[in-house]
Amino acid sequence: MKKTRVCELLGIEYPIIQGGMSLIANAELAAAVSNAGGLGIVSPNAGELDWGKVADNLRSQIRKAKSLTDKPFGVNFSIQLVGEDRSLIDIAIEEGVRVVTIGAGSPALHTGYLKERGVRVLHVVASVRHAKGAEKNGVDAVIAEGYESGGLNSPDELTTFVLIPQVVDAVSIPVIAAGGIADARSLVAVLALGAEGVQMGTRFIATRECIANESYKEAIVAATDTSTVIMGRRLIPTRSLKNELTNEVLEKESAGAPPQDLMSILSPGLTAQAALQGDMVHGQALAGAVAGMITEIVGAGDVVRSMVEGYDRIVAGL
Amino acid sequence: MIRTRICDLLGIEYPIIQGGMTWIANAELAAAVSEAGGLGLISPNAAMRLNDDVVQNLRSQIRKAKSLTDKPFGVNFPVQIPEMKELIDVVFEEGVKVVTTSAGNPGLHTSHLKEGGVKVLHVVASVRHAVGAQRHGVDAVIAEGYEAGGHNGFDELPTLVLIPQVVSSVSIPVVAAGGIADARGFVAALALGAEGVQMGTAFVATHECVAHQSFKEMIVNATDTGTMITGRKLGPTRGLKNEFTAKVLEMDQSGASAEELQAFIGMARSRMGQVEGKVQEGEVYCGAIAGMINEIVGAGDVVRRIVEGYNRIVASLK
Repeated sequence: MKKTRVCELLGIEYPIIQGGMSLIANAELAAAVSNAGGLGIVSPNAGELDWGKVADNLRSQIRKAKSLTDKPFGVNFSIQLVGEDRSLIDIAIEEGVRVVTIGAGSPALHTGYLKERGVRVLHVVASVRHAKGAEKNGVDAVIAEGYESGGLNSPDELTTFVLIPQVVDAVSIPVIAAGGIADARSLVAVLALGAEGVQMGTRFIATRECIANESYKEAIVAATDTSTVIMGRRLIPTRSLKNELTNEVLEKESAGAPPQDLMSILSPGLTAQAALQGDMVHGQALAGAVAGMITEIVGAGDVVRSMVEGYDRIVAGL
Repeated sequence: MIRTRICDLLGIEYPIIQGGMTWIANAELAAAVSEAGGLGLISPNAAMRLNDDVVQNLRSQIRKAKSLTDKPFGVNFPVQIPEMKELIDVVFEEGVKVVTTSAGNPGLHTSHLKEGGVKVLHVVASVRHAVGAQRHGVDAVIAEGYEAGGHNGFDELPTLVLIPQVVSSVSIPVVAAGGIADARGFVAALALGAEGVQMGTAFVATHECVAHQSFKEMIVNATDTGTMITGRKLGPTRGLKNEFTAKVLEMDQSGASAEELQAFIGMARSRMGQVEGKVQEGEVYCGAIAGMINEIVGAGDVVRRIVEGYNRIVASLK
């Protein structure tokens, strides 16, 4: 497949990035993606339920990834979790991580600090306004994430299909598309829209290397086109697999429940309950709308390879 | 420019269909699209006054279109219209060869239309409905994503994830709709496996469309976040954000029932916004792609720009 500015920026062969999913973006997964020529991303709390131990966890995850690959990989920081605190970011820098993705917060907080230390910064955005803001703050690329994405979503609800071309028209830095991508068809589609790379989360959960609970992976494989839903529109919208939890929340929302009533149901431990402990009924199983396109658990490297192989065939058919 | 099965099925040069938008898909618009090599569609109530006879109106719209083009054009029917039998008779009598059906059961009219030699394209928004439409013998499905303006599927599947899943589930051609306004969106939809596109909003902002000038200007001025979904309890509907959507959203959030919402919306609220030009008080159906439409052009130019852009974008993917 063709090379883009994202390959050059990150020192990778194919512009395919594995999302740094909270709790489950572990070193083995990231290393497998990087070894296949993409960019793996480690989450500071991968496999760790206790946020008090996240610093040690991040260091050991980075060291494990380094032991498994010589290729570049990155770390994802959610501003929602780290805020202004740089202690985790400093660990990534000390360990020689060269790429950081940042989401769920202002690009003004850490971009300059990271760039002064030679780290590439990719910032997650979900609208044209935020993309321009990120560019102004000096990020190297934006990850434009559409409404299809699993997990935290923007209240603007812009889908990848309309978000990407508008962001591409609005900034001059490379745009990486995220949300709704799981195969070579969607890879070619977003490159046609002007993206120069993709980031995928859900597709990489259903891989052997990911530490997500087996029940979670199987639920993604079993999902159909209509298996995910957005809830929490009056708080922060999140996309998950439909289950008893989402039914309960949506019922309350539909009856006009105030946000504080919803907050009392949506405790922070619910995502770990699904992702690590495998409670697919009452836990919050974050997943992208693309889940219905994922039909088997494969190796993470195979995900990258099958997309690369499919790319030329699909472009030739156009 | 690629030829697909849609071109052969409909007898057109380019697989680009203009949506049969209620009230505003008029003969002049349809004829201009067909003259440019796409397929124009007429809405039975296009350009008519509120209490005019819809059957008479359709006949005069078809005759006007025939006077303007020798090329094929079609008619769109939301299948729940009470006058369906008489409207279909008009289609037969006037020799229209293509009908798109939407908002209902494909079992109702497909075989009757096909016995009369008419090609039938049915609008679907999920895999299950696509499979059902194929079983009822439709010639193609128009898979319409969450990005689309006007009435939307309850499942809220965006084009990027809907198209490949529908393509993998049926053997008849799939036309992509929702979120497409330019050559980038066209190539992306084809990469996903679609064999054509249908566009609505891009054709509203044209000289030939009978939509009120205020509506067209509102589309041109819209940004990426200019539209939203309201009325999830009745049937999700996408329109430009205005005083009307603010009121419906407020009712939704305070737990208003479907009956209360219907009573507020009333009848012909969309005509008020789209034809009468009361763009705050009325309902202004519009796709999420509005932010990409920056000028009012000729309808034929919309088609030609996609055709001209196609090869350039495909070449850039190599």
